[in-house]
Amino acid sequence: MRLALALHAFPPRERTGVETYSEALARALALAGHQVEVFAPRLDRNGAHLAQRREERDGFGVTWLGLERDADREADRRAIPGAARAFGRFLDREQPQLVHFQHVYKLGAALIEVARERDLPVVFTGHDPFPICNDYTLLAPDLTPVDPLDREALARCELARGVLDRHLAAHDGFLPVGEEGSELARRVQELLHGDASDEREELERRAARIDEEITTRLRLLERVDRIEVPTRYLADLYRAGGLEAEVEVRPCGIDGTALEGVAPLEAHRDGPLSVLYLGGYYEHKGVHVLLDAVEPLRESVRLVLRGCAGSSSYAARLEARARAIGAELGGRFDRDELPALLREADLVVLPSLWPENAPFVIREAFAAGRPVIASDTPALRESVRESIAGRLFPAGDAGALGAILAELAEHRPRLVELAAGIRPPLSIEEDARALVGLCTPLIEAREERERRRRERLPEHLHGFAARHRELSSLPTRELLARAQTGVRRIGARFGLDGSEPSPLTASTRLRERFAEAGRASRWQEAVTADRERAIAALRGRLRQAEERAAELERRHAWVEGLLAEREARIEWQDEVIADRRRAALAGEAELAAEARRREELEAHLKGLERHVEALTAERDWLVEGRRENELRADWLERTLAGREEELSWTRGTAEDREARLAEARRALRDAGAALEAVIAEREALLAERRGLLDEREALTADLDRSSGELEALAADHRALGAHEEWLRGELARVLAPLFGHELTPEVAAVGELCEQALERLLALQRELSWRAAEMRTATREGRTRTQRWLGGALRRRVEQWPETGPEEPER
Amino acid sequence: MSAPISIVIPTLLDRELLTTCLEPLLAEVEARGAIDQVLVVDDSGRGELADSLSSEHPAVEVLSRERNGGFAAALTDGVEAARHALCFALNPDVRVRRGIFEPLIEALADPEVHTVAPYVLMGDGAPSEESLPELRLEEGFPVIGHAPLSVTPGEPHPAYPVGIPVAFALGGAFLFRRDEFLADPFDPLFAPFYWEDVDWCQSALRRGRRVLVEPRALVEHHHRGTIAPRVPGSLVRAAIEKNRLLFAWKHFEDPVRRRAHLEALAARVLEHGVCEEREELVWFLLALEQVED
Repeated sequence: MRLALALHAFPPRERTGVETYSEALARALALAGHQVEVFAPRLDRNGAHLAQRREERDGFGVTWLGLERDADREADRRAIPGAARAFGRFLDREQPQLVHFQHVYKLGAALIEVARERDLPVVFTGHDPFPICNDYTLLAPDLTPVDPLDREALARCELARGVLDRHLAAHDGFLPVGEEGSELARRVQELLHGDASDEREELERRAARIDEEITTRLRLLERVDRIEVPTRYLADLYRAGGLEAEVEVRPCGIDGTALEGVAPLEAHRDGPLSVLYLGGYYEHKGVHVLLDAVEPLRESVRLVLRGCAGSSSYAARLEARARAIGAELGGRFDRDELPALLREADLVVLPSLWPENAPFVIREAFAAGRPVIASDTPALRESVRESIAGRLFPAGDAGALGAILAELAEHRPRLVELAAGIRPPLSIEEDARALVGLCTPLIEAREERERRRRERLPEHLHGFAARHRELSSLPTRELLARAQTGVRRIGARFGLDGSEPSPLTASTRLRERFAEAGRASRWQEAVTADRERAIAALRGRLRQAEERAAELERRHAWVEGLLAEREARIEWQDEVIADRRRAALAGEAELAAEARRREELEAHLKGLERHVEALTAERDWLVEGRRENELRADWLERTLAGREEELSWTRGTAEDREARLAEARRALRDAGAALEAVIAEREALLAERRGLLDEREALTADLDRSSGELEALAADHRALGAHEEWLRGELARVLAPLFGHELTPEVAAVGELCEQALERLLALQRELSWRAAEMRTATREGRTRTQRWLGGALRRRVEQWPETGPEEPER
Repeated sequence: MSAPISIVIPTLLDRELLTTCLEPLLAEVEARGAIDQVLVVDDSGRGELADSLSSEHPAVEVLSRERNGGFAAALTDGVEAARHALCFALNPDVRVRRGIFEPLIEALADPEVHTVAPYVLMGDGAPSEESLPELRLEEGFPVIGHAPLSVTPGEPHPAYPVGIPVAFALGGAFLFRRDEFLADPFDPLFAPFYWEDVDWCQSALRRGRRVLVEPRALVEHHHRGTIAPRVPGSLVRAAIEKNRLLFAWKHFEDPVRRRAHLEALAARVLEHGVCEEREELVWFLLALEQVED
């Protein structure tokens, strides 16, 4: 794999975490057989500005982009002018298969576009909030937190740093500690937190520019194939900052080989607690907090500080303070010194005031088995597990930090327990392997695209195109080396020894080429200068136009005043004329003269009126033109937004409608099937009900018949009873003289038979009543079942059917 | 009526271009009344031309190659399949004008003449600079230039009544003998394309033969190109420049010329390396690999 690593600085020029990590990664990749080319800027006052110099380093190459001045200007910190074009030349020369950005600070996010223009896969590893915020520490110059989404706050920070630029010979972007209460501090505080009414326009302009810069940076980052960060904190921060691309969390590795030999901590070691600080001497690193914490503990704590100093007075103040409290403050250290420094230390302190991310020093401390006491920020919480591999204290709280140090100085075994809780950090070799695994599919996808392009060529060109592609993907120095060997081989074919070019010819030609390039460069510079002049001229014309518009406004007001004055004067003249007419007697000649004067004045007035009209029309035209342009711009923006919204809505609606249509079709099919089943069941129920109704009618008729018969029988029975009584009386009257008594046994038997028959008839009537009740129950049940199966209007119709069941017979 | 000829048209699948080429050609063939053979070599490798052409132009024969092989391979196949002793190679973006063949055949009647090409007009009828090519040396490298000769198209040149001697015949339209071509076809060294015609004619010139342009025979070159629409310009340029070098290495035999070329080459390589002109280095390496293969 041929990989380009791009970042804002590289060892040995600068050696903070990102640079050290990138160097270790480049070395590990090179050891694994991959070709790595690093691209980084450096201050080089002896070389030409933006000249590129390559050097070989531990199996990989480093191309330095020389800067004739340090990139300390605000704009340079965001993007060095010309860096993108230089990076394009670097890519063309080195022909990497993939670009891995470790940072775009100073270089500028436009480098991503340069890589994408060459169809190169791009990976970006985020190490701090710079992608979403120009102030990557998220701290204002007075060390108060800054909301990265608040563009005005970022603009205020810029303005405040401008004040620092003007008042301090050197600074690191922060109000130096010890300046509190000064006039400078008051001005900075006013800009950061005051109403800044005088700077309102400037603040708005800067806020808009910052917003545009960050938005552009984010959009460029969204074109990257893979964005990874070492902490969840940073991933969340990027998303909150507006990055819409996927952000993967993957830890960074460390080359811990040299630290493997550092002896583990001893539970019972004599002497004071040895505390180590490694890092920069900058305000946002909070080194002064550490000194404050250690000051009361100087008897029980030995503090060693090593690191690089910025250009401000902060480091000098730290040095004086350290000396006063007996701490050892040293300068930058070589990597070889690190094992010894960590061997002597019991723990490492990271007192940062900014949120941090995944500091390299924590990985170094853990690789050497040393616990870390760190500020309690969301990012550091992910690296330092509280009370397991270290301790956390509120950022900036020297008292809390001092308490932890005092506790550990008292209880050394606790320190050993913390050391036992350390999880070894990811090795740089594992990191490199994982990176290769992630990059390989991206490279293969690009190769596949290239292969598909070749396949579209006529078949006989496939081989030639493939070879052309292979050669074109070699670094320029490789091409040159092969070509120079090739020239010698051609010389041998020709049977000529002098295969080397004539130095005279070569140098003459090269001189010509350089002269030509110089001319082209000068021409380009002249064109650029012309353009800049043209832009300045246009700006001047714009200013003139605005001034002219204001002047026209003033003249218009003046002319109106003049007009009013002239009208008043005319009125006065009229009055004078009238007076003179009334006086009249001054003679016709004088009157005529006055009339002529009046006419002249009127003519002059008309001229002035025409002039005013012309001026007014011109002003109206200018105003109207401006308004129309603004309206048209607004309309276009609104139309565009509306069209986009409409398109999006239409797509959503279409998809929704299709889904709903499919759903409705399915529901319709289901409902049809259910309806058919209901209809069939209903028909069956209706048929059954019709049968029941027929049966009920028959039974009702039987019941009616039976009731009639029963009534007839009852009447007969009553008649028979009466007749029997009458017969009994008659019989008793007839037979009494015969038998000497009233009834015979036969007659009594007939009477009993009659009574039994009457009993049977009553039983039959009760049975018929019971059957009638059963029929009504069956009818109601049938009706209920019918209603249950039917719905809506049909159900309501069924409910309105008259109750046709048999009535309860009278008993 | 003079001797019959076989007209060989190597082509890819550009039907429109082929139709505009065939119309004036078939009219000319009919006017000649000879038994000329018009043979289209379908080099697309798909064999799709045969059916459509046989229905539209029954007089046209189609030879379908199984695989795409490029101009040189397609022309060689076509010449092998040609029936007549004289062959006329024709690109589909070239249209013949009336009376083209008689002057060409007449010129080739001289056995010393190896190849004869028509005078080329642009699509709008204006004379083309490419008609009278000549080879020059510039800083040790071969360069194709144009002879500063005033010619009236359609009329013989007063100084050269039987044709104007040139360095090579443009590959887009030229008449040659079938057996000579098959005995000594285009050199595969110059694959995939360009400079093969220059090399072929240069070899003949070095054997003492002559290559002529006949101004009485006219063609229009419409520069629609058969390669450019299908191949990226960078690849076409690479083929041209690679073959320029191969031509020099093949034909430069004079030690002085060789030394001049080698010195210029070494200086250029150094210059390209310093100036990061990568493409030029790639062209050189492509040529080097091919010559060493």
